[in-house]
Amino acid sequence: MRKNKSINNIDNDHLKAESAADEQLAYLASNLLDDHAQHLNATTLQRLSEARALAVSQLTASQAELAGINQSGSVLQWFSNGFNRNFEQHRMMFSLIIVLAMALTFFVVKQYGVDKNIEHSDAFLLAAELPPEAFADKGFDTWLVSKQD
Amino acid sequence: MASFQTRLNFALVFSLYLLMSSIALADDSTLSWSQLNNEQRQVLNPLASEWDTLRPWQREKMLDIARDYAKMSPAKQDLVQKRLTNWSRMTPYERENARKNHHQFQSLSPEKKVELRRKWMEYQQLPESARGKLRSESPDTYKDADLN
Repeated sequence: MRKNKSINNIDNDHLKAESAADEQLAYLASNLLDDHAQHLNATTLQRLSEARALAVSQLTASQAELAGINQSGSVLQWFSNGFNRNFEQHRMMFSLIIVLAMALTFFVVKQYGVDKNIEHSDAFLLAAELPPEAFADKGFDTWLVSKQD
Repeated sequence: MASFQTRLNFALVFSLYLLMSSIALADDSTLSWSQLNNEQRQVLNPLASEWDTLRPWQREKMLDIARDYAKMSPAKQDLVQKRLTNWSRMTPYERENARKNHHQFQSLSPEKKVELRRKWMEYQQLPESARGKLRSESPDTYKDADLN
């Protein structure tokens, strides 16, 4: 038990030392960059400034979004918000796609149904080699059966 | 929460869908003779005098015939015109029996169809009394629920 505790203390000390070394390194790098920045020309400084502003605005936006998730406590709401934003932007396109898809489905199904049943429609019965009376006459059925017997 | 415009948009889309449905499923079965178009009247001409007395489901079936008529050869169109009056005067029972037998007839080989045609002509040579007797001997195979 005591042994485990001492191992944990060693790990913590090691992590703290690493963190301090990283901070020191970052501080040195920052100072070095600042020193060299004095010698940069105006165009490069302007580009760097714009890039920084862009990076900061993106970071702010992503943090605000995450804060929204934390406040509402619902990832689903976050997806829903994203969908709504996209939907608002492309509302007309979504509507058009939905209407076209429904129209296409409706008329394809209707057409397919008509074509499928066409050979069984009454019109083709009337145009058959035998008149409809032959198909409807119960006596003819009975007579055929009696002839077979 | 969807905005008012989004909801309005959904309502518009849904209304369009309902409109399309109603157009596609428009009920022609209540059309009177004068409301039929020229093509329908030409095909269904043998039924002109009795069209307005037909029941909605009978009109619907006849309009289906008019629709398919255009897809037939002239010889078959001629047969349809000649047989249409008798067909319209058959009972629902007879028509249903005819549909069932025609369905079976379609699956026969050409030789069997020729043989059946020959037998039909032979059957027609029988006296009406003999044919009536044969009809009365035939068992009823349909119930009211099967008829349209």
